[in-house]
Amino acid sequence: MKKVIVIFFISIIHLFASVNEELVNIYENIFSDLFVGQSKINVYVGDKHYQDILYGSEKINIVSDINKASICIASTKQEIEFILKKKKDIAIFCTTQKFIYDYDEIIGAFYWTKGRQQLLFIRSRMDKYYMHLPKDYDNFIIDEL
Amino acid sequence: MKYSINKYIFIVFIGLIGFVGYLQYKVVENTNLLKTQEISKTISYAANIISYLKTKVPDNLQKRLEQDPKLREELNGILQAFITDKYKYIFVVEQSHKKYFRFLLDGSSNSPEVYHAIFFPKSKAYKEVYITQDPKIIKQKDEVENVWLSLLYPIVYDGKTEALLVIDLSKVYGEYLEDFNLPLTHTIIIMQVVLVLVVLAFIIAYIKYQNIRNKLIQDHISKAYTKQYLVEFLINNSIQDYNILLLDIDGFKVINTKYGHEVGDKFLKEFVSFLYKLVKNENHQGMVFRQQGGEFVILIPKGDYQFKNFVKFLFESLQSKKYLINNEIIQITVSISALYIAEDINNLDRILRILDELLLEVKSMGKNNYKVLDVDDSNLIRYKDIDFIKQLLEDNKVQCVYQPIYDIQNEKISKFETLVRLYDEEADDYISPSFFMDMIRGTSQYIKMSRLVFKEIFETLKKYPHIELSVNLHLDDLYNQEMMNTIINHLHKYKNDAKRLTFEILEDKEIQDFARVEDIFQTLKKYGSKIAIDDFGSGYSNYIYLIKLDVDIVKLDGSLIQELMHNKSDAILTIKYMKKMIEGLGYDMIVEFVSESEIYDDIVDLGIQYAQGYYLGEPKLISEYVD
Repeated sequence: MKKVIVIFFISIIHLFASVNEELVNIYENIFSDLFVGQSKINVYVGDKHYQDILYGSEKINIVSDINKASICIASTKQEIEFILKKKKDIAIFCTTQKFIYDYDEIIGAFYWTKGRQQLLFIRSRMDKYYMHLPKDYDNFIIDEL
Repeated sequence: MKYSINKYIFIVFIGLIGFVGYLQYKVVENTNLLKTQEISKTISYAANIISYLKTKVPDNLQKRLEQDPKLREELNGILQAFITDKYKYIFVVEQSHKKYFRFLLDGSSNSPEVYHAIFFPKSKAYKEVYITQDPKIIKQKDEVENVWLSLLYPIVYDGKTEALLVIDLSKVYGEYLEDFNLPLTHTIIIMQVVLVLVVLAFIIAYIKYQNIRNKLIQDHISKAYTKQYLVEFLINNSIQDYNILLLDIDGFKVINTKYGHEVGDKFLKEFVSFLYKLVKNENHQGMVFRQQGGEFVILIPKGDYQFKNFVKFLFESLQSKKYLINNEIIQITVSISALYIAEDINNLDRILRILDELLLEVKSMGKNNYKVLDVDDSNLIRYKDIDFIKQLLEDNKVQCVYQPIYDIQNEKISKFETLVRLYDEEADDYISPSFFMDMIRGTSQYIKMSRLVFKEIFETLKKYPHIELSVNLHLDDLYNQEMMNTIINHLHKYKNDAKRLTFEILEDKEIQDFARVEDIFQTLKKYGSKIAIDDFGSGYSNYIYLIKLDVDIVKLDGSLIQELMHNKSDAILTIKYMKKMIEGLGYDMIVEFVSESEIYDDIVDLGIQYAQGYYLGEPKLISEYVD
């Protein structure tokens, strides 16, 4: 019985690990394509949950000083406000669509709508930061909101 | 019986497999039906929602929603009301750009999407439905969380698609439908597993059975089939379709004794292998069965060939084959009896008995030969069948015929030898004792037949008081109390006629107890009957009988008489001296087998008084001679 319980917990951990690994891969790919040539991208992550997930990434370097970050990840309005308070004009990548209408610094978002993964980039905002993405992302880039 | 049980087990298995397959098919069909019904319901549900939306917004959906946030709020509330456990999400999107859609309405109560929020559908179906205006169901994959199916339903105003209503059926509900028949599915799986295990067990049992069966039906030394298999084979196949041979390796025992059993087995294997080459080829599909020792039964399918020629070919091939045994080349001979199986013979035991009889004849003539009863010999085949003979005896088909014994000197019939025949009604022919006497001797049928014969003899003597008869009596009959009682009873009953009867004693073994035989002779003679020694000069019938036994007549063996045709001078000399000796002892002498006029002339010249044979008279009914 003990063995069964141990196997059950290992399976659960493994399942979550797989989901998180996928998320790390997605963020690594996005940021690698945004910052071509950088072996490790400095990212400020406001959300504690995302910090934990991205912590082990080989391509993303989580920094606590927003000024050293190339891009920030934010999940809440407070985090966005906090980031912009520390450094104006820093590109923010959001984990929700909700705030992209309110802040021009948000260049894109990766989020879930009705159970579906959504990736969104706003070309006009990216241009502001001289950011470009390969053609593969064309289907997810809109010119402006 | 066993075969039919196996057949029923097989049918039951097939039935079970079919039943389980049918159950599985029905379960899958039922589950799919449930899903199809659910999809139909959802389509109808979507149509109702759109119908309701259209009552609220009769035209210009996009424009009015853009202009009226309150209307949006109201309609979101309406969509929310449609959300149940079954329907995870209900929302309305418009295609605002070729790449993406935007939310118009969202029925989610928890964090609903804001008006005009961007939506990237991964499926091309969204755009297709927009164009075709045909509702579509998308089966969602794992990447869409908690959604099983999505129904895309176009919202059309004046023929133009204004938006899409999307209804997501929850994954939980999909799983519920999927699992609806799960207990039955599990039962079917258990049945399938059990069936597979049972089938496996049967296959294993069948393989084991086949191994054991092979050992039983195939002789492990010679690799020929066993006799058990012959019986089994003829249960499932008609023996009428085959010709049959019984083959015995002459002196097989000598090979074992001389070279040892190991070499004997090796030889046997080689012999059977060669035998198979002869009987199983493009011309014949024969089968070889080992009976015992070096004895084999061979079945050859009937066909377009001369059976006698085939047996000859087989015999000669086996005769010419050389075997290398212990660095010594040896040739063996075989004795074969073969039978063309006629339509009225279908009993294997009867067939084997006939073949045994026939093989015995071959062996008694010095082995290394073959004898075939072909289709032309159908009567012979029947006469060698003990059951056929028994039936004739049961039906009282015993018939006495009489051959005259002539008094040559006085030119008249001296007496008649009584000869027994069985009447074959079908062939309208008399069956000679040579066919059946050895078969029935020692059986109750023999006694029964003897009673009938004696009854007729005495009735004939009574009917024809001027004739004399003789009858053959086997030496063994003298020792048989039942037989002697029958004879004595008849002698007693017909004591006035008994003096006209002569008993011709036949022997196939040496007399050991002369006193006992002489005693029996005296008992017979007491009634006036005479005693004759039959076939004198051959076998066990020798001169000592003439000294030790009180006989009246001596019948010379027919073979001596027949020598008159081949070695005339020697035969004349021998018969002449035998005549002198026999008559000198005071016995009458009869010669048999007088079949030619030349023989007759010789015996006349020799002064023989009594003679019998086909030249003088064939065995016939007594009426044909006397009346």
